[in-house]
Amino acid sequence: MAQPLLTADGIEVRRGMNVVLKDVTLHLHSGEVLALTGENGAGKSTLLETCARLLPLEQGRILHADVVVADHEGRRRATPLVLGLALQKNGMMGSEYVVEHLETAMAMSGRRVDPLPFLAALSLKHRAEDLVAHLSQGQARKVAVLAALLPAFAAKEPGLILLDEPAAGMDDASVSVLCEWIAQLRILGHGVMIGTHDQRMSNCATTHIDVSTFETTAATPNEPSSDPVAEAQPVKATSPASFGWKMQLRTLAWLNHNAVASLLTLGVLLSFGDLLDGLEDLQRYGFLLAPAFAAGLCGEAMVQASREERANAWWRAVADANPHSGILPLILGCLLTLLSTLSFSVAVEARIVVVGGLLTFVTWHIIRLLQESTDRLARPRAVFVGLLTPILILPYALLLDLLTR
Amino acid sequence: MKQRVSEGLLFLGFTGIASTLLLALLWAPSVSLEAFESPAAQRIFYWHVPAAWAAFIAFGALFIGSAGWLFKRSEVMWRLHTAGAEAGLATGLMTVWSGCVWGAAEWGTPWDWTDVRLNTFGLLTLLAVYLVLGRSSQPDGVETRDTFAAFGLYGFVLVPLTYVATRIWSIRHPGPVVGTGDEGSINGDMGLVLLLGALSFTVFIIGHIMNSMHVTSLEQRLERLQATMDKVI
Amino acid sequence: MEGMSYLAIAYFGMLVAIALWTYTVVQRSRRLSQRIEALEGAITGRFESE
Repeated sequence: MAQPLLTADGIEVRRGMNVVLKDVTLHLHSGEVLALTGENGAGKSTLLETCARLLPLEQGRILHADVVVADHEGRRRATPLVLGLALQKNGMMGSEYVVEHLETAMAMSGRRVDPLPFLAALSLKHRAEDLVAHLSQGQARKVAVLAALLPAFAAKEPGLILLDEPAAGMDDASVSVLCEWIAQLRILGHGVMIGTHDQRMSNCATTHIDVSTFETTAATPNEPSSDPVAEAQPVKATSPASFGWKMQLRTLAWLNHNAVASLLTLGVLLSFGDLLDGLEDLQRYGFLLAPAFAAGLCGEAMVQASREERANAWWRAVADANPHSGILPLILGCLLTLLSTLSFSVAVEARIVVVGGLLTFVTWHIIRLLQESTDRLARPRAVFVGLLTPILILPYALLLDLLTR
Repeated sequence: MKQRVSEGLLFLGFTGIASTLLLALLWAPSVSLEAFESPAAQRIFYWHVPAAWAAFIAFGALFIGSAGWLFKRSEVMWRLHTAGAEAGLATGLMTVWSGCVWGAAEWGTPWDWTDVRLNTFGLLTLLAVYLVLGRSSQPDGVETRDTFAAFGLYGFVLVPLTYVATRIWSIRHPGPVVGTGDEGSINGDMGLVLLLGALSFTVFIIGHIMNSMHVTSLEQRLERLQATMDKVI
Repeated sequence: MEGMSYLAIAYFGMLVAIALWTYTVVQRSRRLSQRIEALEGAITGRFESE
């Protein structure tokens, strides 16, 4: 038999204090559809998320094709396969447009098909240009599941599709369409793993696995009533940085999250009056660069934004990184330093403006990494990452020192 | 039994600390005005230095416990992490605060960016605040433990980094030390009080760490019993 | 002696703070032990009545 698309090899996974999966081995081959069944808490979602490399392994390893993509020693590699993922949460940010999210998902596979006929089949074509935030729960669920399937329809090679309760909240007609598409993807050679309580989803499967006992039962799946019709074209992948940049510009989150604190800092410093002339170089640069530093210390707004509907988990699975603002902090820092220089009526020094940009950029992304470190926690917003920011004061002081040499 | 030992150590340590402070106020020799700007404030030394020593033990426990959890998944090491973080927070705050008070009296400023120890303790205390507050806001589980143990382990990179940073800073900006500070020679009586303080704080902090570890194990036992009760009801 | 007075107050305050901190930890330990005893009793009672 050809090598499997997915192998879970002796995996053990914990959630909270419980061992949810212990010594689990399974394979998913091309053209197979595995339906994971079992009661709530049995481990369906845990298994799916582990196969998507979202959960750390206590033991064992996960392979996509013949590549070890995750192991119990914390090693992690990008998947070599086209990966479609729909978790129980939709994995989309409210500020994305419907068709934009679908294009982003397909772009990860390097190829795209026209999403409009697919949206039409789910009675969502009229919503293609709407924001995800404006959709009902059921509509959003359809878009999320479609985003998991379209990369496979566009792909040239067999890929991996992981679906967690895809039919939840969907109307009967849409579930029928979903079953038809899964059957088509199976014929195309893709591997599908579905965690489900829904009998109609189970009927799509070639194999049923009860996650409580890991008892396997072969099944005869539905056959598709038509061939998939979709012409694919090559397309460039969307990077987490370009996505984050786009979201920042659309929502202006940077204004609330970073610019306000920076401008307040500048305002407070200006209120001390005309004292820059009496200061030494070190102190003067400290005043000029303080707004840029303050903007960086506020960190990355995209971290919070991407926690909506677990969009960050979706990005980590398909693109290996959370969305972030890329070079936005560099530009913002330069502008804030320029503003600061002009506000203090001091001669504009190009190197100080550039240093301000770099200062914001480095500080911003360091704070972003600290913020992202709390992603695994049950209540990440309850943790005071801000308490760690004073760590950056000494490097800031040293930077100012460097400038005065 | 363990609880009795830890409570005994706590009581013994506390008695020693109280005695040290009494001796520091009433018996320890005064220092000269030539050596110190504020001879009265110099007596904070009998609290500041032993507190720093106890904080060193606590942060060491935090580091070892964090490594033990991350690399060995040891329950005992996790309890050491939590005890070390709490003890580190308390003793770190004592060290930093007493350092600021002494600095304000002796140097004219509460903070000295050239002082490696003050900066290192300040940053480690901030780390301890983060760990203690963070952990109390989360349910117990591997996710919580991995996240905070990683901070506890890698936070120690702060120590050499702070050393390098403050060395560079002090080369360019000699610190505001006016007198000979606490680097002056220590006479016999002063050394005796200091030794008593160091021993007392050591006994006290070990008692505290043992007690905190016991408390964590009780919390875990309670959690397991509650889970059993959930199934029984 | 003014400085010494302040120092004495500061020392006394610190001792009180340490004592309070120790008291809360020891009390937490005692409270937890009581809750554990009560729960164990309830669970044993439940099994016996079944």
